[in-house]
Amino acid sequence: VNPDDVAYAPIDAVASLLSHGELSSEELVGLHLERAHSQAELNAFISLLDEGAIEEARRSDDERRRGRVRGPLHGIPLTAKDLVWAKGVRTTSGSKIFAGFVPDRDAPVLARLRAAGAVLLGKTNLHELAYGVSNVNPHYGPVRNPWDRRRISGGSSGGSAVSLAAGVGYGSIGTDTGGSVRIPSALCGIVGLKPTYGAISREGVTPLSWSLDHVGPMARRVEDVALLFEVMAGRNLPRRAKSSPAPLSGTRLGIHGRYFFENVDEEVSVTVERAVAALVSLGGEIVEVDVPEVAIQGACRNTIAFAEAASFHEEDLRNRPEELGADTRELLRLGLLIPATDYLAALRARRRIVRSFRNAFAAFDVLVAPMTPSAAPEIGASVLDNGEDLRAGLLRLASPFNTTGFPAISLPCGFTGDGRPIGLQLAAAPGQEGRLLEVALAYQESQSEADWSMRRPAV
Amino acid sequence: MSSENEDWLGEAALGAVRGLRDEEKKRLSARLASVRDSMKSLRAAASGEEPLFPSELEREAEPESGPQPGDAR
Repeated sequence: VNPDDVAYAPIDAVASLLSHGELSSEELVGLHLERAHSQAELNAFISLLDEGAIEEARRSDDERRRGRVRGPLHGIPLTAKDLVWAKGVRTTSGSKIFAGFVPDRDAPVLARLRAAGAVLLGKTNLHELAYGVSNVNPHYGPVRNPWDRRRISGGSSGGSAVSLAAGVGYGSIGTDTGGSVRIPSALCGIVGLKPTYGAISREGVTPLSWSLDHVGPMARRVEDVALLFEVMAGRNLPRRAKSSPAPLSGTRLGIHGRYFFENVDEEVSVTVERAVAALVSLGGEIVEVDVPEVAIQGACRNTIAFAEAASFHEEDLRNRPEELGADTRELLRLGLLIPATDYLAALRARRRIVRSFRNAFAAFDVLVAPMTPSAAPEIGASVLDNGEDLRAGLLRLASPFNTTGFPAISLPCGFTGDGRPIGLQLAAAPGQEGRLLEVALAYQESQSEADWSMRRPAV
Repeated sequence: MSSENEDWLGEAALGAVRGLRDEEKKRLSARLASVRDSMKSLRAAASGEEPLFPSELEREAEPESGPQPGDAR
C-alpha cells in the first residue's frame, strides 16, 4: 500500500485496514510522525508526542488483539490545537506566557475522542492565544500553507488545517471565535465545522471570548468531520437512507447576495457560484435572503471579543506585557479600554441580531456563501487580494455565525488559477448540524470528477 | 462635560495600560476611536433589548435523546 494513500485515506478506510489486521496502529502512528517530522518547516506543530503517541498506539493494538475495540476511532491518530488541554502534555495556547503549562487532565472533548479510541499525535500551532487569523506566531514560527509556503495558513487553528492538508493525522480539534476553524480550513483546502454554540464542551480549552468560542472538528472529508462531530458532541446524526440523483430535493438554499457576495475576488465568487449551481443540480432550490442586521454583527462581535479576551488575560497583560506578541498585546489593550456600557450594548444588540437570523433562516435550510473573500495572502501581507484589511476581511464572512452561534462549515470547492484553495461556506439554524453535513456531503460527492477534497499539495 | 474633563478621562483610560510608547498610544487611540464609532449603530439595535447571555445560546445545542455515537456502527 502506498504510504501517501494511507496517510490521506478517509477514516473509515483506515479503520478497515486496522480492523482487518493489514496495518497496526503503531505502524500508522509511526507513518504520521515521520511525515510530521519531515515537514517540520511548515511549523504546523508546537509539540509532537513521538514516544508517547507510539506507546498509546501499542496499547491500542494490544486492546484490539484482546478483542477490545473502544469505538470508531480505535487506533486512529488525531491532533489537537495547542489550547486544548491534554494530560501531561504542555499546552502553550500559542503563547510564551503558557509555555510551561502542563494540564493535569484532558479536556472533556479530547477525553471523548480518546474514549472512542483516538491516539493523540501532537499539539498544533495556532495564532498566539487564538487571537488572530494569520497564524504568524512570534514564539513558535509562522504556520506555512502547504499549497504555497510563502503564504499564510489562516488561523487561528492554522496548524490543524496545515497538518491535515499535508496528510498528517485524520482529524483535529479546532476552535472558532470569529472563524478560526473555518478560515484556515478554506485557505488550506480541508473541511472544518463550527457547530452550534455549546454543542461541544469548551471545558479545558483555553478561552478567548467565552460567549463566542466554539470547539469544532477539522478533517479532509465531510464524512470524517461528521464522525468526529458525533464523538466530540456525544450525539448521533441522522443517517441518509441511500444516495439518489437528487439528494437535495426540497432543500432550500439561502443566497444572501448583499454582504456575503460583496467585495469578493472574482475567482472566488465565480467558483462559489459554480458550487451553488452544483447544489441546484442536486435538487436544491434558491431562496434570496437579506438580513439587515448582518451589517452590525461585526461591531457586535468585535466589542464582545475585545472585552472578554481582555478580561480573561488581564493579569498577564498588566504584569507580563513584554511576553506577548505585538498584535495580540494591542488587541488585549484595546479590550481594556472598552467601557462596560459598550459591552452590554453589544450583548443587547446581539439578541436582535440572533432574532433576525432566526427569522430569516425559517425561510430556507442552508445559507450558501463564500468562506473568505480572497484566497491565502502571503505571510506578512496586511491586506487580502481584494484590498480588504487582512483581519477584517478574513473575519467578515465567518463571524456572523459566531455572533449568532449558528452552525457553519467550510469545505473545498475549487482553486484559484495559481493553485490556492477556495472554501465554500454553508450555515444552518441552531442544532441543524445534520442538515448542514448532509448538504456538504451531497456537494462533495457530486464533485467526484474534480474531487477537490482529494487533491494533495506537493509536500 | 468640558473638553478638559474629556481629556482627563481619556488619559485615565489609557493610563490603565502600563508602559505604552507614544506611537503605541496613538495607534491604540485611533483603533479605540474606530471601535467606539462602530458602537453608534449597535446602540440603536440594542434599544429595548435585554442582554443575550451565552447560556441562552447554549440551550439551542442541547443533545438530542437517543443512541450514542458508535451505536449504529
